[in-house]
Amino acid sequence: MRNVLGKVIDYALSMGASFADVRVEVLRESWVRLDEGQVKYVASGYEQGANVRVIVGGAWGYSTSSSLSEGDLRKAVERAVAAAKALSEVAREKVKVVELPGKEDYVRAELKVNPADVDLEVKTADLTKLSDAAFSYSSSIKSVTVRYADMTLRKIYASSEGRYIEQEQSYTWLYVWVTGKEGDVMASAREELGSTAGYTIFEDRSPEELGRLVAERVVRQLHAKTPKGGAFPAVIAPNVVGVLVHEAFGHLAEADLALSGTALTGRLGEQVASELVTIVDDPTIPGGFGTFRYDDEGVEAVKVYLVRDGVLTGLMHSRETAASMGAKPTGNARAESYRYKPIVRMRNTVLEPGDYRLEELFEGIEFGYYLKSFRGGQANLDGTFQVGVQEAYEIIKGEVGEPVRNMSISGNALETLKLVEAVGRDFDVEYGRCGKGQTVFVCSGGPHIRVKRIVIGGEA
Amino acid sequence: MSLSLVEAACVAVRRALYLGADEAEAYASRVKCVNVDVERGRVVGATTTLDVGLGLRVVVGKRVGFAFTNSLERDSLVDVAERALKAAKAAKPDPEWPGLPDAPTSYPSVEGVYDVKVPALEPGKLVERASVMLESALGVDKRIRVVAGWVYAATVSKAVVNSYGVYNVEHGTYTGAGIEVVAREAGRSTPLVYDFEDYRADRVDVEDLGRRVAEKALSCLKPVKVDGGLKPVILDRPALYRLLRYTLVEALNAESVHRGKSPYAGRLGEQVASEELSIVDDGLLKGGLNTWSFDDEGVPRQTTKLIERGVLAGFMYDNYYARREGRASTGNADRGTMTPYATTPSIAPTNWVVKPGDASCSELLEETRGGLLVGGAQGAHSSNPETGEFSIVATPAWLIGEGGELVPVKPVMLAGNIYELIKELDLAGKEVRQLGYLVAPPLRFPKVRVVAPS
Repeated sequence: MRNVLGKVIDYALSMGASFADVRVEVLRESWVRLDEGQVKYVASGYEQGANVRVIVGGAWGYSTSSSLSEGDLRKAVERAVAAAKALSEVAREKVKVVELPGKEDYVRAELKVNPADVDLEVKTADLTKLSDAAFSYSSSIKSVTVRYADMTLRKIYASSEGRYIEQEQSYTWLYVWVTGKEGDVMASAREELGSTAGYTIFEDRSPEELGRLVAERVVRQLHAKTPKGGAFPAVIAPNVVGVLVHEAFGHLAEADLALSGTALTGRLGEQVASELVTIVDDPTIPGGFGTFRYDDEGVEAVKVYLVRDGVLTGLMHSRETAASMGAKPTGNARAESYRYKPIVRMRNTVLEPGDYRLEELFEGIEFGYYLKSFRGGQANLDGTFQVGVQEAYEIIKGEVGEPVRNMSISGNALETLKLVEAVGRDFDVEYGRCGKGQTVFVCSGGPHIRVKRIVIGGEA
Repeated sequence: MSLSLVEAACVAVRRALYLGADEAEAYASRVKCVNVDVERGRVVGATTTLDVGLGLRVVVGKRVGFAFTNSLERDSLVDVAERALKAAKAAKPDPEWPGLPDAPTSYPSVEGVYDVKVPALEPGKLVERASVMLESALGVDKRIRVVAGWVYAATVSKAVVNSYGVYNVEHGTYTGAGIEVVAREAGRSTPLVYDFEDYRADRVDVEDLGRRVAEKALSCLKPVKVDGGLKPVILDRPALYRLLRYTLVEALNAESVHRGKSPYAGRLGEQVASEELSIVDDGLLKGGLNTWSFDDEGVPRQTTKLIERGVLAGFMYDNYYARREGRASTGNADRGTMTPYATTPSIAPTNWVVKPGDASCSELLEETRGGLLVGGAQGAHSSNPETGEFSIVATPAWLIGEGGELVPVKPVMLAGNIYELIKELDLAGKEVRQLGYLVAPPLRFPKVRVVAPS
């Protein structure tokens, strides 16, 4: 492959490209879906492909191919060059990318349990145990959906700079969605887990414990009171901190979006959050979904301090956004698969822990809410967000009280981060996915925090 | 020498049977697509994609397994058969499994689905069109900003082969373009105004598309506030397309009916909508976007009445949900468009043809004075398909003035129950266009609850 890619890149250069790279991927995957305890879908997949990018005459050209033969890769180069040439005739500005020194590297995945070595029968049996445990937890449980996937990838990156990087990656992903009904009250809850060490998702909790956990969340909501609407102090758990930091804030700091206009555009160096807030997009967190050595442009992945002590100190970059802004690329360019071009994406986006013990965060709150786990949310480029909360409790005189259902929080990410009063010393991340026209696996999280005020709405 | 789609499908099916499958079906597809993207007012990238793949369903003692590959090399096909059998072993037996589709006696012929000019469209041509569309939009007024856009041309081939003798391959072409625009003035911006067109032939008029959308965006500047209350509302195609997709389309799906999630279960023959509403799922519509002569499991496509003059006439089925009920499939099995070979089929609309009425555009507006014309529905995906409840943000939207003139309004919410609303439908336009699965005129509802922000 190394030889073939070298020739293919030379071919691109000979056709007039000033920059060329090729990304090859070979992927094996399993998928299982259960609905209501029935195994609806068991699938095994194999996918291979290449994505060729060239810059000719200052314009990008891309092409993809599912065949990896040298002949077909050369044809892919021809298609990409034709596309770039066509574009260079009308493009108003020339594309610039940051180029890096040539290098060679091989990165192996560190698997504890290779998912390819675990029979599909074992997987479906475990997932059935999970589903049955959730379903039988209470007669109020009406539906249980379980989705599982594992993927083992071999990725190769080669570029005209003389870079050649091979990486192995593994993703194991589990998603559980449970709904319940009692009388007129309906509730639902979910749980999402992941691992990059292979089939280890049941190491901390058995399938039955997980099933019961989600069902219990639903039943708790069915019996819970609805929240008072209004603005209240809140203690926020890592799971919800993650969604604030990734969804509400993180996208604003993706350089491609910031270049179009977000609430952070032009604000590097300014105070955008409380001084207690430090937010990092970190590709080194062990086992994180966003942990890797090189991104999909072959660029070394480095930690990016987005906010340090409340000041906006960095953005996440691709080669092109870095060149536009005179910055260094950060290794944030990712693509869902060979079928897509890489764009700026988050990796593991977290709030750094502080000094407070958990109990201290609750002290002094006369009335407020403890937000433990989220269900879904939406955020906009001006910083406004709305997040559904599937597990929450009242806080009364510093003590966690009754559960609350149908809760959602909303606000503006920057205003909320300015109201952070205390940051805990604990830390946790949750595994999930991020969509931006193409889906990637990410982690987000942080410690428990306390905010002075957050807007609570009913109807999650 | 690489195998053709149908040869690859045969190799996979034969191998699966040889390895012990009771039944086997292979679906293979090839897509070649050239796509040009516009972002933030510039043509930014041209991509050509070549994607090929095969998905194999096997059944062993009523256990259904599935495996897929995107390589049609012989060793990959042998491997996919082995993996599919392993997947079947891991599945639970489905006592209701009725078998894969039988071979039909014939397939219908369809027209207007393949244009020889399309495979020859080079990236250069499409880049030129994207530029024309961009310049056309920007040329309308200097307050226009083009947020995004695209122009594409695709050639698609699909083959289905199964162990009962289903054996067919078909080719189709697609072209299309879309553009998303805002108008900005004095620091304020209109909501996103967009439109897109897709055809089976090379027909998009990009200059007209760019100009029309820019003009619509301009017409949204300086919106006025509108009061809440019950108002007559014309839902234009982009709004209908989204609203119906998450409600009625789910309710008329036989799988929803079977799982107890459709309000129409057991109600065939009942009046469920006004007499103005007739919907046919037409898999054979000439030039239809979802027209093929067979569905994604090789069952011949057909025309199925769903609602006739307001009376519930039928549901959409695939082979699995039809045969369990002792019926024939209506040919609605679909694998989606992204990587169709990587999924098993499920029920989806083909071309939903909503019968037009008599009203011209100006008549529709005149008859709806004081009401709203709604050009988009945000938040339709959180509608409840079981109850029909919806709550959407109507944007862009216009108030229809006394003389039938259109005045842009600030976004308002429309809320209600779609299954009640269709009972009240009283006027349909006469001009029909296809947007995705929906081939419909604009529809007027006399009383819709409008919620204005306080």
